[in-house]
Amino acid sequence: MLGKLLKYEWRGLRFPFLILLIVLASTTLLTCGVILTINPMYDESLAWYSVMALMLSIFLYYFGIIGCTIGTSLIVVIRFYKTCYTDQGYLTHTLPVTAGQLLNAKLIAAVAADILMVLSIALSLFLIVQVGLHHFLSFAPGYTYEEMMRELSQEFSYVFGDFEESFGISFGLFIVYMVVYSVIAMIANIVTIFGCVSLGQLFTKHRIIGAIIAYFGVQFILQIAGYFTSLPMYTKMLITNYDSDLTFFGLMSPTLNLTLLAVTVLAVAMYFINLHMMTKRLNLE
Amino acid sequence: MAWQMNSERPIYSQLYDKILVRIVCGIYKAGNRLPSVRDLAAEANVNPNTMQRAFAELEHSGLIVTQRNSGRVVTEDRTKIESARHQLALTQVNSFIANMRELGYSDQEIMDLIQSIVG
Amino acid sequence: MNENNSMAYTPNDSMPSDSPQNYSVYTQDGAAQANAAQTDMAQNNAAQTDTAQNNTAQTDLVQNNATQTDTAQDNAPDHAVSLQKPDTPDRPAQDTYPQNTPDHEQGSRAQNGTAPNDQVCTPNGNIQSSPGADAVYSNLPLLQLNDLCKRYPGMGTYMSVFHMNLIIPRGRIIGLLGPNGCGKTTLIKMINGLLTPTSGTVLINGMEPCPATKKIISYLPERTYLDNSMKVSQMVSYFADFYEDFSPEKAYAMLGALGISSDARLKTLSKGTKEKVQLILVMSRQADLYILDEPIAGVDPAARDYILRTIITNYNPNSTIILSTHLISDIENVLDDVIFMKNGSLMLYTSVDSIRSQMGKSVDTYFREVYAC
Repeated sequence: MLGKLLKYEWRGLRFPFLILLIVLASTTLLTCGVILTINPMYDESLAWYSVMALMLSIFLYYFGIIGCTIGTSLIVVIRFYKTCYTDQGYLTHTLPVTAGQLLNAKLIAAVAADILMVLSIALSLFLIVQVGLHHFLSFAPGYTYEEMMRELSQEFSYVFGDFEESFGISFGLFIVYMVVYSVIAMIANIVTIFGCVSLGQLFTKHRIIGAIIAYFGVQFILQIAGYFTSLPMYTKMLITNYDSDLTFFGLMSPTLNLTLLAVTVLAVAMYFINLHMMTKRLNLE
Repeated sequence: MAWQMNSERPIYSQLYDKILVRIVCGIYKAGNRLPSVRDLAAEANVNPNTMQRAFAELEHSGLIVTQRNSGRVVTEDRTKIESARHQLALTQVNSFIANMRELGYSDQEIMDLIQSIVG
Repeated sequence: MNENNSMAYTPNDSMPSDSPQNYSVYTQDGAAQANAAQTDMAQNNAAQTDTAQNNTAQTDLVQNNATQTDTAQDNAPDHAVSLQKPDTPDRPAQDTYPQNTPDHEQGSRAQNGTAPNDQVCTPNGNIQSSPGADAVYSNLPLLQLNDLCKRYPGMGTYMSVFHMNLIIPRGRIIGLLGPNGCGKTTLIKMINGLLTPTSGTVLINGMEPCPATKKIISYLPERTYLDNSMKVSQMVSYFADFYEDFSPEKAYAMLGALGISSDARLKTLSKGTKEKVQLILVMSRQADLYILDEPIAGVDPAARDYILRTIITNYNPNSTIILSTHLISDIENVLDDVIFMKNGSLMLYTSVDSIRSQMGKSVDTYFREVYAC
């Protein structure tokens, strides 16, 4: 059953998602195209135009990325609202599945969509960087790609050589930590938005406005929680001498961990709020 | 086409009457199989349970018989069919005469009228 | 009129074989099954008399609770036989399952004999079903409401469904009738698990609403609940995917008969056509309980005939169809029984034939009298 639900979630999401991907691809291609037109050999005035064009396209690209990430969340939430709490809800909630299965299917599909979008953005960034590098390399004869890569990696290892000492945690571990943190934050974000939509159902006459109010309410609570979670960091900063061996990560990590905990608790709470609203408090129009 | 029904009388007794007429007229011949309850209910646009009840009443009157292997058949007993036919005819005639009397016709006038029409 | 009988299911015409549930025609062996069918009739009769007695208990509650609304006092029309029972003994609202003892058989039906215990468990007259676990299972009524109440949060103390008790057997086509706002839709939602009762229980085959009950209930709501971006054929696959008892062949046959192209996108269809599609999808399932909320209201008369004919031909003794509608005269001929509701309470639960033979009126006329404004 869960597999079937997932199949139909994907079917419902793939068309809008494709649109977002096309937008992303367009801005990427545009930026790449603009990069390729830059030619330092040209005379002053033309070079100026092509740099302007580059700025513009990067600007567009930036907004493209933001639009796509917000867009992904948007299409997921709209689908959630439409299938669960509008007339389509009559079909969704009379399927022979539990509310838990429904919710899980939607969550998994949402997380997958988010991850896909992140990977797509990473891919497009990589593409742009590659195009840029190779294009500029073509103007520096004798300077091959391999040479540049070697120099860059030397620079990197120089900078990150004593990363562990100053930062307090090895680079690899840091990357892992950030990835885990981001994934949990992503999941929590989705569950929270779903939870706000579900809470909006409590206001029988103004369901969507209720959802927005719920969202602001949750943000407010998060802010307050944020003050508490950053307490360790501030206290440490206050009581520390500069030349003690407190590393950056050592300073941040209690706060980061507490935030992670708060976010996880929020996600779990929202999950159960969702379930409760879809079973005991379900009240379709 | 759905059968015409009077909305004030129980459906099953109206169905009973209609099937009775069909038997008497020979649409369902003596000894022949009746359509199934489901088919007839669909034709008449009525609930199969109600049609079933009409069938049961017909069976009780002896006009149809349930046989082990061939379902429901019209009775072979032609006297029964004849007497049912006679009953129906009597009802018609009695109501005709009552209506005519209401219109003010005397019995002789009724006879003359019938003679002139039937010839 | 027999004063000791409540109105339901014990008509005064004493025909010993007047059984609406002789299932013999629906099994392979025809008349050979008639014997078992008699027992089913007794079983259903017991279910119905229980229901009738529940009915009177209900009316006591209704009449006693004048604070519910002002009109609660008026909901006993003078000639609704079942509602004048000053000497009805107090029955607990929670009722037991229908027993198959002679006590529960009244009048002429008892002539058909008590159901021998070992044959009682097959309400669909299907002797091939195996006894044992199946037998116990199928002894349960299809739908049972126990003191069901629902109060919506914003409506103060008014209960949209007020202490409803009902036992609905299999193999019937039942009309759920009542004025707007009387609690029909609320009741239907609770049966489907779309609303949680404030108190009391809904039991389908003895289970509270859950995926297992949703599997055997086929629900047609008043609204269009289809995904507008899908094509008709995709909707058919959707149903086929989630419902085991769905038959795509049946669906396509009906779509063809009504001239609906299966390649059409739902958002290009007119409202009436969308309703037809929904109905086809719902009726193509082989469910135990069909709940149709206003299936024919938005549809043209020719299609209405087709739909009613589909309901008739889809009938099988194992399933019950509950039709909620305002177009009573159109469906009267198709209904076995009717349920009248008012202000959230059960007013009447009786058969169409009883109303016609005892009142001498059609259900439509009777309804207009009962609910006259």
